[in-house]
Amino acid sequence: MKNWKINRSRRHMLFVPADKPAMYRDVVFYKPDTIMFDLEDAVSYSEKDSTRILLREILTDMDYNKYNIETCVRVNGIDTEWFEKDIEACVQSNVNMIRLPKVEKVSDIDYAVKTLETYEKKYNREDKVLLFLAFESALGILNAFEIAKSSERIQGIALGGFDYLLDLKGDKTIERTELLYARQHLVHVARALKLDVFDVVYSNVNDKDGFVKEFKFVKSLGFNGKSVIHPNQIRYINEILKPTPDQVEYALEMVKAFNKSVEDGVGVFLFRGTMVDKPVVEKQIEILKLAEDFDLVKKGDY
Amino acid sequence: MKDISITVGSVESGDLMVVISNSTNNKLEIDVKSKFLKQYKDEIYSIVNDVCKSKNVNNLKIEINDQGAIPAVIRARVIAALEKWGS
Repeated sequence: MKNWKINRSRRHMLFVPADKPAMYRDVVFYKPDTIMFDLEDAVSYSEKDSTRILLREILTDMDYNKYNIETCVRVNGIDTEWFEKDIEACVQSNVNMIRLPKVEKVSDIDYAVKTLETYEKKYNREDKVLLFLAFESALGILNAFEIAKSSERIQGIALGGFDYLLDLKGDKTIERTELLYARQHLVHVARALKLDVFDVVYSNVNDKDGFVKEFKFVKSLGFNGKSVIHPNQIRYINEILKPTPDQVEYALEMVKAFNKSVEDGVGVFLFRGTMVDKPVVEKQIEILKLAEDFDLVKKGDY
Repeated sequence: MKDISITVGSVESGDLMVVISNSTNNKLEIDVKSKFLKQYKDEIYSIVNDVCKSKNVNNLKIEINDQGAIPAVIRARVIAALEKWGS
């Protein structure tokens, strides 16, 4: 549905190869916040054109938004012969957002936006297709702030671990220490610009413990969520992010007490005998917003 | 006249394979194989015919091996095959 906006925080983006028709149908059952249909690495050169047509036709008929799922398409890079046709297909169909791979310069975004504008005008699309950027090189990481603030279409940024590591000439470690600088840099960029920030995929889909450990770590750094390649990984993320009943109760109580103190015009806010300032309350509001995503509370509850 | 055939799609569940070649009688020949032919024969033929009409195609042989594809997939595979044939 065009003009649809996601009404919750993005926690997971599930990669789906765009050349597998059955997956377009099945993916709804896994309830990802965002489905990312992949026209890039998942599709062989000889299948690029037929896959793009497949994506366009299915996403013209199917409306994932009615299941409260956002649709994103990872297009081929702007330096490829397929980029412009990919953009055209997305604009024609029910695609909310485009994930741009390997962005390195502000001019990459200028070109992408110009291409989007051309096709939005051609097909009389009223809403603007959103952008999500993947940084996958040293140059991209270093330029990330200027790039990420270059268009109001940009909703978030992500780290692409595989190509980034190749570009760095680094080695993959179990602890992923080689990604630390890029991860921390992108979190700073995202927070400075009020954007979402997503971590790399975890490729060993059978390693729940490793995934959970890595996600807890990147969450502590400030990441919103993670790009995922297997439906099980959605479940693991939800298990980690879902606030506990105690956390929800505590947050509700504090926010209600804070609202009352504002109404009463009380200068100093005391909660359970301790003085609490605004940032602490804001943190509890964040927990309640997350609780909303899991249907644990409703907006009117606080 | 081309003496080759074009194949698009697969025989995986939910997909369909389209093979396009020259028509033997210079007319549009559509041959559909599907486990679901009883229920969806008319719909499949109608989609293939509509795509051919929109592309002004009236003299090819189009063989379809359907594995339970939804209409959008049928449409997409036929469009892709015709575009490949034409290019």
